[in-house]
Amino acid sequence: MRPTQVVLLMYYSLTLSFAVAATIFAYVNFAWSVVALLLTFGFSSWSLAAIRHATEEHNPYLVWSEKIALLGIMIFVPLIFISNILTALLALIFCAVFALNFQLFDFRRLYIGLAASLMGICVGAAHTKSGAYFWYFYCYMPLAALVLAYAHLSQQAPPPSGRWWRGGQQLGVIGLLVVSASTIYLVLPRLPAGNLGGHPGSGVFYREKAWENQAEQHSNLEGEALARALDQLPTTDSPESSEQRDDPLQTKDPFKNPEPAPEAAVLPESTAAEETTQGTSHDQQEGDENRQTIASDAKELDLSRHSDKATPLVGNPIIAYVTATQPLYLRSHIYDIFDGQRWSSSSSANLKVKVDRRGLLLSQPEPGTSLVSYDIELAARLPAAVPLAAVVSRLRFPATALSVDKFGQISAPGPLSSGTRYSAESVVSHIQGRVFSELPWQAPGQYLQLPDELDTRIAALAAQLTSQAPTQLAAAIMLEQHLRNNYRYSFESIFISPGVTPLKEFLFETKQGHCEYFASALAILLRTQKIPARLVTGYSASQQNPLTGLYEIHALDAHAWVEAYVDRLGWVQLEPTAYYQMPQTTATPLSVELINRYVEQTLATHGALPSAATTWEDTAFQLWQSSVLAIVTLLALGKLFWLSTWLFWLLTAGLTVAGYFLWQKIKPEWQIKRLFRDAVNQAQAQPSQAMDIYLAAIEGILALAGQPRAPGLTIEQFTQQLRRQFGDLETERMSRHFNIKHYHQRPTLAVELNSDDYAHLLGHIHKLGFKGVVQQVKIVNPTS
Amino acid sequence: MSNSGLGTLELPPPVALFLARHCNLHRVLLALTLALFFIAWNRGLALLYGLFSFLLALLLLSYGLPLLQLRQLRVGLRAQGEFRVGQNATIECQLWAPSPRHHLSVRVALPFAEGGVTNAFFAEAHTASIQRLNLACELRGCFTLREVEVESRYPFGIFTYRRKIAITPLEVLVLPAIVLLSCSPQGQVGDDNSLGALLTHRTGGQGEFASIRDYRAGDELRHIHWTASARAGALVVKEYEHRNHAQLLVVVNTRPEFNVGEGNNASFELAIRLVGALVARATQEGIPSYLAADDNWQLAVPAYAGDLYPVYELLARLRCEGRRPYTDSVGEACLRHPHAHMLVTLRTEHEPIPSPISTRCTHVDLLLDSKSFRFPAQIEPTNRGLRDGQRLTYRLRANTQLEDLFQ
Repeated sequence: MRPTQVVLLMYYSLTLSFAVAATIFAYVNFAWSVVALLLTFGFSSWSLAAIRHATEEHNPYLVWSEKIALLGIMIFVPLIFISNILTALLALIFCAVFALNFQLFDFRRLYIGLAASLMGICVGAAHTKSGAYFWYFYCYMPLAALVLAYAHLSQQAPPPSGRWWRGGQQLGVIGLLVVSASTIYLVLPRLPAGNLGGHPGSGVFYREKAWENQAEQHSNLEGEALARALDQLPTTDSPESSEQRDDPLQTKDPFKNPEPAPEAAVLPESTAAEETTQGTSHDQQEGDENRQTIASDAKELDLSRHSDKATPLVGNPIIAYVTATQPLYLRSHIYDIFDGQRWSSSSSANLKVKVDRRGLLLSQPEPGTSLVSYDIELAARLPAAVPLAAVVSRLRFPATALSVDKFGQISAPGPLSSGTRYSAESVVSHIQGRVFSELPWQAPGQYLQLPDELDTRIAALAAQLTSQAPTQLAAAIMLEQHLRNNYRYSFESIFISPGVTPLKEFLFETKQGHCEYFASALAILLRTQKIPARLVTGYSASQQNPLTGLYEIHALDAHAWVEAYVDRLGWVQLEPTAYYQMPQTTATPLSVELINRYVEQTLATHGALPSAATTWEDTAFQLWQSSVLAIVTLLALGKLFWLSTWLFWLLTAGLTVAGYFLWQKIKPEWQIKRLFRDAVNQAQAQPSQAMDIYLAAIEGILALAGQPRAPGLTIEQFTQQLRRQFGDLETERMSRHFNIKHYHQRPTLAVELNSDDYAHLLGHIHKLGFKGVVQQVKIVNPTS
Repeated sequence: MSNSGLGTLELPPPVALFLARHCNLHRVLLALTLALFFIAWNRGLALLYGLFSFLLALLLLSYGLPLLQLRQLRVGLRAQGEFRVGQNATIECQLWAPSPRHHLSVRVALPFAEGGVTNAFFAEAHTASIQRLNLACELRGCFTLREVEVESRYPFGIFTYRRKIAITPLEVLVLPAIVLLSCSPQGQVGDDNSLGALLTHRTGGQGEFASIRDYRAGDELRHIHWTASARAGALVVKEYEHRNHAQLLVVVNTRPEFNVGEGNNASFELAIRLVGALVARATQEGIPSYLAADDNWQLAVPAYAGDLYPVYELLARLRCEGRRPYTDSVGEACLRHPHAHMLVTLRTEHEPIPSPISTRCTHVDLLLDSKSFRFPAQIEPTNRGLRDGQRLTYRLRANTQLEDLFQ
């Protein structure tokens, strides 16, 4: 075994170890990935060291190889039933790689092992939702590159010095690889997902027999027919009655109520986030089993629990991941009735519809409309309302039947479990940079309802603000901007008045509140100006993780906003809360932009959350969040270099290139002068070595001119060449003097060490200058 | 580790052939990169974009860095020592680069060496890095090396760039292999014929006493030194200076039709080896030799010549491209050297027997069996010399052991 192979096998073991650790990280967690890393490295090193004296024909460890391959099959079969085929294949592949370790006698097997480890990394990358997975790439790829390099070196004859590759050189190459890969990653545009071959399936499935029976009655309802059927659904006129009938805390459980009423007909205490929060106390009081589960899942969301300041809130966990081509606002509930303090919905009934393999077709998109396709995977338990972007065209949901209310909002038979994955296509229109949705079966007139005792100042304020607005859309935007610019977001207000909007105080006194205040205020301001408006709750999927590319919905992304029916164009989405960024119409393709946006949003979230930690779990989580933020912030510096200062860097690059070419012009002349000056000075200092000094200078100048002294050229041949190039020279004398100096044993006379010929030639060359020397060289050797 | 095949994995021949021809590390990596991009795009997996970036960077560096390594390179070759067929030789390869370069492989085409190509791998090369290429010479001749091919796969061995670099022409003279004859053909000639007649065709006495030596078959009885023999207990003969007047004339057949077979096993190559061996033996025995070929190629080798390099050098340069009929060449050589006591000619059975001009000259006719050179695997015994008057004919085959030919 040659030394390079020792290094090679060590790097190979490390590469395999990181591949295994990465997949374990993707499927389990970080701690187990560290354990897997250590175990794999130990095992791989041992197996490779064990076979170092074995040969293909006489391999005592072949039985180990067979046993590990058999073990792989034994793991593979149960994993197919327990998990999925991909996980089972992954286990089989890694077992095959470990088995191959005992037969690693040729380089192709090593390459196969490397390719298998790359597949493992890829599967892990497809499975994980954590951006920290990226750091496994940073460990794996340089190691894999080193394995390739040393495999190449091991196939060469060993150098006489015994040194293949300097450590510094290796580091340089690996550094270059990492920098190049990072640069490519930062500037690489991400194309919208193709989704060829369908959407990934879900691990959770919802089934409710009663709903299926009801859905059988409407089995042919699709598209326009479904819209018409929804339009005929009865409505609730008064907020009181709807509050009585549609109390979500009494009617939400589909498993206990064979005829479940539409859920969440009354806006809970606050927005959807608070909905889960408030659910906690009710769950504990009422002992409802299902809600208990929701509450336990949403324990960190229990903001009211931390509202006493002694135990400040820590953490803002992710509740869902969205794969989409653009940021989305996902609707859960629509509210159209406001009693002065609370919002409720007039939609009191719903339809049960069947879901088949093709999914549920809610509306047929018109030709030319832009469809947005997206996948959602839940990471926490949520209420039964399915968050979707308006207006849903087709929904693929893992259920046999779904409920659709008058507003087109969809609910599942039960609370949505963590791990539920569904996909949908929504028609999203953009007019004047705003997101519009159209619901043709809706009657906008009902959205002008105002509370009985509405402060007159509100209407006056709205009139004053919109006096110059030429259109309804312009008026809506003016009101939205007024709230965004003149009112402050306050996280604490969620706990001060949960579920209640003190509109008058918010607009004219405190001027601070959370999203529900802003949304309520805008909706009422719009209605005073005869612009139909409604309040929508749901989730803002606008924070895209730049590393995973997924939109992460955190607990704080549960949100309320406003939709207004303007100018007979449809429902425009309005975002009055300044804390949230305006809805983006397109996704940013560049990673640097994504990173920058992610950092800004994360910083804003951190600013809104109380930061002190109480338990060690909170502290650890906060540390982890901080470290991730720090790393992502470092990556965000790319924007400074690539975007913010791009003109400076472009100019610098241009000047550098120009300077380089200029220097290339000047450099030879300067070098010739320096060589001549140094040679003259050195020759004066060491007269006995003058001949060699002059000769070295002549050789140096010729090398600059593109014709270095050829290896193996004797002094006689070299002086002949010089004579052909630079005219009449005493070549014989020059050669003789050189040979006497270097090869004669007897004492030499001063005349025999005469270096005048060389000095004369050097002076002549110096006078010719670089261009002259090049010309002379070309005359004699045109190919030079 | 070896780089051979897939070990015990037996693939169907068409698949194995396809893989061997089209599947290499670069293509596999390129396909993996494209596949990864497709998966990343299709599923919208940003993390796979990261992995794709790494693979792309790996490929880009593999495309770019070798080009930098191959810039401004100069290569020189220098032959070290003597190059002779059947022996190992060394060529010094010097790589010159203005700045440090890494993992460069210099590929030198050597038509005379085993394999035809040799590689010198420079793990790190700077101003004048030297590597020695050890090679086994297989072909006699004079070869001029004018260019080398420098190859770089730096740093990952994924993609190969090659660049041909002209070098100062290096002439390599590969001498024919040395064959040591255990006996010269003259001894056998003397057995049946009067060696004295051969040696005393000149008028005058036997010459001055030179030394004594062991008796060999064919020596005249009158030259036996009886006293010395009695003392030594074995027959010892006297040698006289007159043996120096004996001359060996070898006329090499350079007609293209004489060259049958391939490479070093061709009939012409065997003839060259044999000629070298004959001259060496004659010189060792104190007999001057004359070598002739075609019409303008003559060389006189004095007796007891210490350095036979010129002989081998000329033999190394000899090519089988003669245009003159071989019989004419033999005739002219005999005219130029009428005193030669032994004429050696070489021919195949398809060529006529050349006749010596002088009737007193012993003619050693070396007949090369062309069939055996066409089919060297057919081994047949070599027959002994057949005498026909002054002509002694030896039939040589491709597998003939030259050392014992005249024993």
